[in-house]
Amino acid sequence: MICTQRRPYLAVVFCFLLASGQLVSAPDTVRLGTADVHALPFHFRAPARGLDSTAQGWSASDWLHRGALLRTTTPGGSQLVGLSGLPAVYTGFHWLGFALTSPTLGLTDGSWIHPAFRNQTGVHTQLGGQYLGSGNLGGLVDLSAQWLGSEGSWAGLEAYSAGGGGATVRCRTNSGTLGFWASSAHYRYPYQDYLGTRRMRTGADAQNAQLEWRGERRWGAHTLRYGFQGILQDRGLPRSAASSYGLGDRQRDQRLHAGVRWEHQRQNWHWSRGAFGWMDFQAFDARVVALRDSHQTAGMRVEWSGTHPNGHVAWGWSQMAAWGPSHQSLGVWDGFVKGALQGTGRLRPGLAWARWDLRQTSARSPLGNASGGMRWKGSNGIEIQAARHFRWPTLNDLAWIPGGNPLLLPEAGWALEVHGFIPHSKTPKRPWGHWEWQSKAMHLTQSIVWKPIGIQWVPVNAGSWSQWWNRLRWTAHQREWMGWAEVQYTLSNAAFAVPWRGNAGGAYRKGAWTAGAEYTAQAASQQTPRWFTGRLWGGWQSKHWSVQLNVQNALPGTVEYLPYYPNPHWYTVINLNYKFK
Amino acid sequence: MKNFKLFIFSTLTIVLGSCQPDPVNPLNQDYRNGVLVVNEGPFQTGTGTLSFAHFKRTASDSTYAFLDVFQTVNGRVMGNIAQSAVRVGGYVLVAVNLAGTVELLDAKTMQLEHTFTGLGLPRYFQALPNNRVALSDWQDNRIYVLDLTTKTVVDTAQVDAGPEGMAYLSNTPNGDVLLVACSGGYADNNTVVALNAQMNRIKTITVGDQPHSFAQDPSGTWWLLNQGKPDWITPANGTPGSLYRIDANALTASLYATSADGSLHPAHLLCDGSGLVFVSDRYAGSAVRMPLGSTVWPTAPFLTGASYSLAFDALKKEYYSGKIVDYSGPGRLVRYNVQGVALDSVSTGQIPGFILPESH
Repeated sequence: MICTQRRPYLAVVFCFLLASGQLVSAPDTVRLGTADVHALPFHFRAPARGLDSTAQGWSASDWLHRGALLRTTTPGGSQLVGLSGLPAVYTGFHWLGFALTSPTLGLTDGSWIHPAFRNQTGVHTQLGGQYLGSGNLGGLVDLSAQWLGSEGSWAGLEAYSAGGGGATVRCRTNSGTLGFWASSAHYRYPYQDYLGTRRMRTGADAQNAQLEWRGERRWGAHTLRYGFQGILQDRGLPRSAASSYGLGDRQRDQRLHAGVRWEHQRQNWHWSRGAFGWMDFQAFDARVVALRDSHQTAGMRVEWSGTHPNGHVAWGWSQMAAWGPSHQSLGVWDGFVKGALQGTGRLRPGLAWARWDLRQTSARSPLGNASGGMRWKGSNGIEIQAARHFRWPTLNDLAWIPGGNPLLLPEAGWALEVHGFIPHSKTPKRPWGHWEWQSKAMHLTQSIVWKPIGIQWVPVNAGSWSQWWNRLRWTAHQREWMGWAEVQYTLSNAAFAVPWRGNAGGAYRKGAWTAGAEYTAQAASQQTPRWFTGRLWGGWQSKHWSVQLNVQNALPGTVEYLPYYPNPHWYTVINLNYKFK
Repeated sequence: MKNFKLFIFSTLTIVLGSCQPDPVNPLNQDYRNGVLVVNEGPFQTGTGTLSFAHFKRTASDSTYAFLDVFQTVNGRVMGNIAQSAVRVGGYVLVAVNLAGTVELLDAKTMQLEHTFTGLGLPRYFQALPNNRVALSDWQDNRIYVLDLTTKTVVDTAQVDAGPEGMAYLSNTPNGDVLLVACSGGYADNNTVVALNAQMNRIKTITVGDQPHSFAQDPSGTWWLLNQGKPDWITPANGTPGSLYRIDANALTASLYATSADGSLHPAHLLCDGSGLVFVSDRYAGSAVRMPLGSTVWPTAPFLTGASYSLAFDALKKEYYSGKIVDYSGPGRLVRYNVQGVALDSVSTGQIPGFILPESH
């Protein structure tokens, strides 16, 4: 099976070389897809970033601050990020313009964000993400919103009160940036099980090591960007506090990502072509019984795009394979062609066509994808967008043993969004600060659901759901003070829907000193309990040194993001960083 | 005299009224007057529950249900993946699989009397003499003997992989014998282990793949249902379910009938007095019925709809079927008459996996 897939890979390489022979290029395609094609003028930023700059490591607090739905917040632990009130399978992660999402689970782990490149990350919840491909209904996390960024070189140490710590090094050179991160979190903390017995959590430890290189070469109107990511993770999954005490399952991930993108400007056109390849290995070791699941995937993607002030065209192709004891060996390819008008008019229609093919069967699913945006310049920014959404089945859905269903069709649906804002620039002296609101109506059909059929669980295209998600955010900045508040409200018939969620905080900066507090609360869904958590922090920084103390979940009790999976009631994280000149 | 009559009338009204089930207050119930349903609860992220259902049988009666009597009465959750239950003496015992516990409850009030902890993956119960109960456990492939008088584990026995259902055979030539169906647990096995009263293995009987449950017919004959071994890649290539007849005197088992469909794996065998009833497939099969004396494997649904759990009340001559609605919300308990006609139904907790009828 694997041998027979060599030919498509060669074809992919040939296509890439052929495309590169045209010597046409464009800026970062991720930004093309979101900022240019749909003219999304504003992204929900982390307003406290300027006041919270001493914390260099990416943590769960960032996700809570950005309105994401989380299920764990442990240092180094798995972070499944849901945006727009949707589960994590509807959040796309892009790196160098390519989807990072694991084809097996259809998920990207938020812990794959390298701390050294945290400040180059952007989060988009607008429908623009739809245009970029499968599984972006909730939003898009762009890990390379800036490829190199303006940060220089620095090194940092962090320590966790629940045991363990980590080290980060960011080294900027003339040709690129190298990031290295290693951490080991023991994560021992007391909790109470369902019988009221006080226990010490063990086996929830997490070991992470990541190496990332981002390089850039420029000559004339050409830019070559290239990068490499290596990720090693070995993490214990805690057992439910409603289970007998014992070690949870263990998950091991080994991933390699490599990408290159060649961009070129010719007259009014930006041209870009890129290639991305990956290999991953994932294993689950069950502890209660001697079970071990493991699988590998490998694949390659190529993309070519051109952007003009009045339009955008792109095509791309992916080829991937999966094998291993818990998977049937299979190969899948998908491809897309898309185009959009933009720039001069207020109506900005786009159209994409995508196709997906599972080699082992004759099941094929061509799928249209259309979107349009409208903006009134004189109304402080109001946008209305409609987009067709789709999500390919994952390799688990297709080929898991037992139960994988190769006849699955992609999920498909429609979404309508209204997005408005009063930017800072229009209200420089208004005390009420910056307001932004977003309202997203989503409907999805032929949802992929695992159901028992005959002797086994099988994923089928069954059911549909509708959701209306609303978000209002306020930010104010007055001299040394900053305050922010956000509320999300959701009407939905989906079991995962969280009815409301709130986040509020404030920060103060005086000279080299910083202090702040932020609290987040979430109502219960059918699947998750309600929770309330807070974070306090204080820091100091000089020209070269900075130190910050974070107190996570600064509350008297534990917090459970999932039923019966208690996090510690509070713990501290200390960061010490040194910035080179 | 008039006041005296009024007093008597009022007293009788109160006394007789108090004998009626209270459809409103779960803290004022006699839980022996209804069906208990053990609900698995959400896998990994939740807790099992114990539901109670009382069905109307007289004009003055009413049908009602409580979804989670364990937590309502005892103020805490029951633990992850509730598996099965049994009534013994004045107690109800509930096995909670991933919690590794057995909850010992007062059968009338559902008050928690004791929690057996430190078990592995408890599965099913079998009542023994002397106020004792045998418990099968997948963790170390053991049978535990629980003494309800001392509320302790008094004995254990090592058996083959994946012990499931059990049968207690008294006064055989080998003395009292406990038969244990060893399914393989998360793997495969095809043996029944016979233990004597001292919980020593006296024989290992080879049977069909993945033996699951026993039932005894009115003639005293014991029957064993084997699930068959699934083939996850090509389901039709699985080994089919089978029915074995047990010779209690010789401690042997002989093949009686075999399913023609290797993709279906039956479970939950019971006898209704004139036939053997089981679920045609353990995940989403229908209840099928095989009259005693017939050797034809039944395929036609006997009870409407899929059954995730199945029980028969021998005194009331009624069947009960546990239905999973959507795996994320309440399930349903349906009551059928002896002809298999649905009578009524009530809501249960999530994933009703085991039913304990009133007369059991």
